[in-house]
Amino acid sequence: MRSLLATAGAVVALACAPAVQAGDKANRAEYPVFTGAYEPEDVDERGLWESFDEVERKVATSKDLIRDEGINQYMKDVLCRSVGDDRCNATRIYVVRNNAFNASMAPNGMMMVNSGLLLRMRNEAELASVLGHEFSHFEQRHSLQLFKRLRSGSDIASIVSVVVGVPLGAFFLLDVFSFNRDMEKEADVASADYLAASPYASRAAADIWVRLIDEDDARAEERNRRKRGRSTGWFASHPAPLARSEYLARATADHADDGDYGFERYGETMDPYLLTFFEDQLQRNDFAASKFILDQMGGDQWRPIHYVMQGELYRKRGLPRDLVTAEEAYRTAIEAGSTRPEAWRGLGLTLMRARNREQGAEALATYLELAPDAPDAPMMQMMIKGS
Amino acid sequence: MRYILAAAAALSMTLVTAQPAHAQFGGLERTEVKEGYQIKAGEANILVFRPNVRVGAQTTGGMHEPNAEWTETAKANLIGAMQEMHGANGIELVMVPDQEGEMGDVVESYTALFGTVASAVLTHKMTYGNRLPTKKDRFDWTLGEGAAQLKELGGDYGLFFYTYDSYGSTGRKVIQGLALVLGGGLVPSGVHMGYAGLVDLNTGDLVWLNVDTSMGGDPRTVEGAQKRVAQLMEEFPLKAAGEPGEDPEGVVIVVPPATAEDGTLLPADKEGDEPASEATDEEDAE
Repeated sequence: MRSLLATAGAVVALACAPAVQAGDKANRAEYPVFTGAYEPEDVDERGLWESFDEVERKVATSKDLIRDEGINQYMKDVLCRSVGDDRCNATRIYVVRNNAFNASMAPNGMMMVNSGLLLRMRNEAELASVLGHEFSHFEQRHSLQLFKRLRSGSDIASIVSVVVGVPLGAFFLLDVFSFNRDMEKEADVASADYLAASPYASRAAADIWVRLIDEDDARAEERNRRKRGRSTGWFASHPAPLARSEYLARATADHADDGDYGFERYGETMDPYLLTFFEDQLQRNDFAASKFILDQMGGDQWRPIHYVMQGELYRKRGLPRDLVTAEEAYRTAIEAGSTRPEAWRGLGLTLMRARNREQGAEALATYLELAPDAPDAPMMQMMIKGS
Repeated sequence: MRYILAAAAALSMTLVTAQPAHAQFGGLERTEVKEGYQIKAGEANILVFRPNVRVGAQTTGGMHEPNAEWTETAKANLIGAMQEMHGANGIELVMVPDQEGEMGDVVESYTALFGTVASAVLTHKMTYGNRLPTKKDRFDWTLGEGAAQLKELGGDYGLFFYTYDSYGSTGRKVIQGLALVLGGGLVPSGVHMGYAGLVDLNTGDLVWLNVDTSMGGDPRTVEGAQKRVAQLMEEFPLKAAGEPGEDPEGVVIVVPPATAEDGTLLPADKEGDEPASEATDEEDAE
């Protein structure tokens, strides 16, 4: 059922993509009133900011950051289009190479967006909704609120524990989880408001969560475990994806489907990174979910790069029949005109593994011609010689 | 499975109050110095890399409550006290400003490497009962010769330090008292830890490391910071005595042998050896 919904959502999205340009969507809402960029106020907030300023120094020099100007400027632009020019300058966005589906917001305005999230977004409007959600954590000072709640909770917990003599006080901390979920919901709702006022299609916000449920369903089936994402547990930090997709769909119903999805802009910006991000995803050893992501990405418009990814997906699982699928995928990519060295590398390694050494060596030689400075060049040369 | 996780989460929260007692009741305190190591004689600059100083309060429930004002004051006081102390020994501390570009990478990498090496020393050398057989009688960790790149910043040594203070709040102290009275055991109030390490940038060797998990001195005050720095700098390598430049660079001054009036050689007296070292002194001064 969910898969159907997701497909329906994607189809609607595809149909709308080229129709509307940024800035001219019908029944566009007003942005909520913005009080202006703010500075930390009380002792707690100044303390939190100062701590996170130090964290940010570390993050800014991290080897995992993607520093290319293009993608960073793009993220900033999307945030500005999502939450409006008044708001967006209060924060800094860092794109981190991390295959987990996540983004985070620190109290001092440091926003981190994982590459694993970028791999899963299908269009700019979806990204805009996530960035809006994170921004709203900042605007509404959620970190500070959580800190204060944790503090009062643990204060009571320890007093009760000491007085009663058994560590029953922990029960006073249980509501921290629901408190956090409430803030997540608040951020979702605020993000929907931003999206309504932005040039983007509001409907995109709910699509993300429907797809996330489908992804986990694929994973659950492969691992033969119970499906998740439909109900919210006591200790969940966020509302369940199903709940999020439902209330977001309701919140955005009024504004649905006449805004911009920005498929092309998103596709063009992410294209140079897709293969790297997908390779990172493959490190998770999560075949079904990776396949789901690839199928969503390709949709019904598979390009050569998608076939290269498919080759990587099957080659890395490496069952005997996978090698056949992988070889075919790489060959399709090459025939379709892929100029990516990775296609020949993958093809060569697949053939080698299938004991077709001669052809494998040939493909690897082509790889080295295309990418003579590749970091794995010496190893590949060794494999060619050894064949 | 979910419920097991849930139970584990609940359990872990009950441990909020059960922190190691050493924080207050005397904990790990160890110093390692490379055997016989001395800071070179003469002019010596020590680069101080951005120190990690955190000061805050410990809440009733044991959380750390960061305090920006305390942290800033403490940082300034600690650096002031350090400059004073080393200045008295003729060592100049050079605060390394934030670096851009390639040097920024180098500084960041070596700061991280220092942290990794220092924690290896803590785990495998300073924690008794857990010492590696090959390291038991030795202190020979190094960051490698590449550390020499940092000399460009204007020093021959690199100093890294860290302090963490979480002052027990009134509520925390009340809990501590209540726990004692009601038999709830020892609830620690306040955490004060620090470590500092010195790297010889010519070799990359870690030559001194001092770790203390129950430090004294309140770095929020000038006097307290002096006490803290004295503890932090415990057993800091001494400066080599005497003149700088242990290996004179081939400057030989030939003093004509003293002769008596009749032309016979007189026995050389002790002053005859001295001019050579004075000459190298001048060289170094350039």
